[in-house]
Amino acid sequence: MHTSKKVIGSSGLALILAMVLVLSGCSDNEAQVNNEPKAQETAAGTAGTNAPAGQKDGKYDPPVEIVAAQLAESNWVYDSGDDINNNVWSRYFSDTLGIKVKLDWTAAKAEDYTNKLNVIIGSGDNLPDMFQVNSTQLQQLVEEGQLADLTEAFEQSAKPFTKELMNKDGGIGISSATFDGKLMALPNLAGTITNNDVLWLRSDWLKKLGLAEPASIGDLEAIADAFVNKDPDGNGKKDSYGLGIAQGPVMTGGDVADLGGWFAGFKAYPGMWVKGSDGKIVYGGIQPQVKEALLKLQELYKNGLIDKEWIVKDGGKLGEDIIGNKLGMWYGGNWNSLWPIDVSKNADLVNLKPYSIVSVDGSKPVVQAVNPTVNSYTVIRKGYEHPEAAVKLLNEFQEKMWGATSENAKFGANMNVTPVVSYFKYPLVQSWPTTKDIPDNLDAVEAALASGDSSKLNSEQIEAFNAIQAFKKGDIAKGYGTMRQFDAFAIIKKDNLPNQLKSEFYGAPTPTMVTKKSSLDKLEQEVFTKIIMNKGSGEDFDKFVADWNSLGGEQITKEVNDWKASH
Amino acid sequence: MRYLRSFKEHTILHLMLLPAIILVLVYCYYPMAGIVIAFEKFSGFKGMLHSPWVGFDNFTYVFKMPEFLPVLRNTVWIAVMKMIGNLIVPILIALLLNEVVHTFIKKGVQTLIYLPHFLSWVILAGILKDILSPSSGVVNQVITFFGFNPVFFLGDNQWFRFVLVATDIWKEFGFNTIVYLAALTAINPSLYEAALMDGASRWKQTLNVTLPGILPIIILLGTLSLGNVLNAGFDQIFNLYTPATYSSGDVLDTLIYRIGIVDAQYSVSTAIGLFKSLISLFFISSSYYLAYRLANYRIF
Repeated sequence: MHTSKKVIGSSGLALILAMVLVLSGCSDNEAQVNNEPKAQETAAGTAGTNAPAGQKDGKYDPPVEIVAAQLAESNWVYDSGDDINNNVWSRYFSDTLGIKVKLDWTAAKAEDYTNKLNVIIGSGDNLPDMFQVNSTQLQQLVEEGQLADLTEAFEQSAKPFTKELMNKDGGIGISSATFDGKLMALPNLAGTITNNDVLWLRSDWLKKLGLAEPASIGDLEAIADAFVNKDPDGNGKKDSYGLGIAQGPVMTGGDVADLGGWFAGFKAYPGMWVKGSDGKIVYGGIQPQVKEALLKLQELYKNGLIDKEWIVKDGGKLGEDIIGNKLGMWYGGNWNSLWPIDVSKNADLVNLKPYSIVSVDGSKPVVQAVNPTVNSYTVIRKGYEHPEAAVKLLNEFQEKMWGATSENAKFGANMNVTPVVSYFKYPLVQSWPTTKDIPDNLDAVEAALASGDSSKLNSEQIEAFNAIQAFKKGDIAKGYGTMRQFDAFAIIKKDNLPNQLKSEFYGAPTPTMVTKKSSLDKLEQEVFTKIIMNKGSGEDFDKFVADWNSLGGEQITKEVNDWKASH
Repeated sequence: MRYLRSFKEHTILHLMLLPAIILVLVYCYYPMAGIVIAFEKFSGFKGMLHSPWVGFDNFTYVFKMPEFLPVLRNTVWIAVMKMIGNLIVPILIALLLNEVVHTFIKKGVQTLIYLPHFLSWVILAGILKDILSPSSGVVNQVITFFGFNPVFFLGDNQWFRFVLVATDIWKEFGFNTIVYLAALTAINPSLYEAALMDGASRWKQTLNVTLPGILPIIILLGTLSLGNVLNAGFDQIFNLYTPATYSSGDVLDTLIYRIGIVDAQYSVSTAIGLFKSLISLFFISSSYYLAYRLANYRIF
């Protein structure tokens, strides 16, 4: 009895404390509300001290300070004594521009950065003055009215060279950062067709089985059949696969064993927004060509040409199959030669080469669609005194990287030490020429290889040049990755540079996308997977199209067309 | 008055309780205030107190989602099977181990079956993909040895849920067994002596001494596990499911993950979370009541 009394006593105590908590919870919330104006005051206070900053020759005097947040990955290398706060770029910015970027916080991994920023946005914490966001976060912050309008800053402060580079993608990046005619962010551009697929293929297996380079999907099927049934690796076991697909499946190109290249061969573009026959924009994943492509994959699967266990294998697992001489053909991005292919573990992999992707009717070249790539956006908090500072930082970054006064050894990377010190990673405000890999680096390196004169190459190109030279001199382990990557660049340049198909939609997610897209994507993956694995039929695809439309896809399509009309 | 007096008498003891109470308050009760965002169109910058109030809109949205019912069905199926398995298997193993006389074997088995508890599902998923592989996995080699066709356990909707339940039990039964073994040692040996005197066999002793002896623990763990009726186990499913098994493996927690983390729709995911909690509360309360009525046993 005594025990039970005590129990009741303590539960009574807990009840009282719980009530205290509710009360303290309330007062705390009030405190939070009271806090907000205070925080704004302090922000305004610092801005106030910066306000009288005059400008002399484009340099702030006295210097201005920008409180920023940045991704600074743990594997970045610095010169001795330097760090993310004090390095060649930060000194340069403060010497020539009078801008001091003060990092409020950094994250060591891209995922951590996104999560941390999401938490800050989700909790309404104080934003830094300058930071990078992805397109969803950009949309959120614009809707909340938290960002500064950069239209005027960009118009007045961007140098002609900066404007040229920022519009090299046909203005798509800038357009994706424009809301109601106002530029709300500086897009960080990257190459677009760089994401196109090539067909990675074991050339030694082809030769051994007496097969030619594929010219159509039919040829590809024959190759897959031979790879499965004719023991290409000669180990006497029927243990190799035809066409590799990674789990997911990934519908767009530029991955490992994705389906982007396969679909493109049927003029099917899941994951992309394409022009329909009536000129309106339609979703690529619900077009009849997709059905045709899926049923062909199903046929391959039924005939045993696709690994029955593909749905549980990711890129890394496929890498094991590749190294183990089990997989010799898959669609993938140009960088597959660097990963998951690993020549140091299997010397025969040197025969893995990129080939042009093929179409079902044999027509060439196959046009692949790409999402106009904007890696991230640099934004300025609303109310920050000097929004043009971000534009000035961008000016200097692009000028010193690719402009007339570029100094690669000083600002790009120091190649003379191991590990290489990559200075170009440090600045927060970045944007890269969209033609960097294809054709710029490719052409420059090819020209240098032909002439033997590497003096005109920038640091990144020299690295590639040296690797390819090493490969040609027999240092396979050092040179294979870059050598074959540049082979892939050359193929993509030949096939796709003259005919590019860009996804018509490149804005921030529309309202219905925010609420419905992940469900629709999941449905798409589920249905496509079932059809490939012969657990679904063409009818299931038709049902998927109807479901997709009724579950929000129709509304999204309408929103995308409305967006297009205003961009 | 009596409470107050006992409170005074045990001031020191109550003070010792304080750190634990504060922890519970800060980490369990204080965050509950966040439930309010389930009824709002939450925006971080407007804050919990100033986001627009939308009433039950988020709940109607969730209940109208076409995936909601299948997901709920999967969740309940998987969670209930796991609850039953995780209750029965450890009791059986504990009773069997209790009969083992050889201490070395007993301790050895105990340690071995207890180990998987410490492996994370990320690692286990990789191992399971290998041992359950239809072409090279150990399990399927045994199956084909006996002349059956190999089964793609992780890619087949008919098998996937059983795999989830079986692997979860395999991972946790060792840990749960220890709790029952501890309860077994607490049974007064004189009861066994008395039973022996009365001529009870080993089996009769188990039935009439051992089981009633650990009944409170069984009821306690059973009741507590009822609160998990909508917890199908996020880590496990997230690491094992694929588009091919979405229709049998997608559960509330993976839905919350997609809506809350991937899409950052905090209000909707909070609404689902609140729904989950209410169902759990209902089950815990009713099992508490049942335990009291049927077994005359109070946990609190």
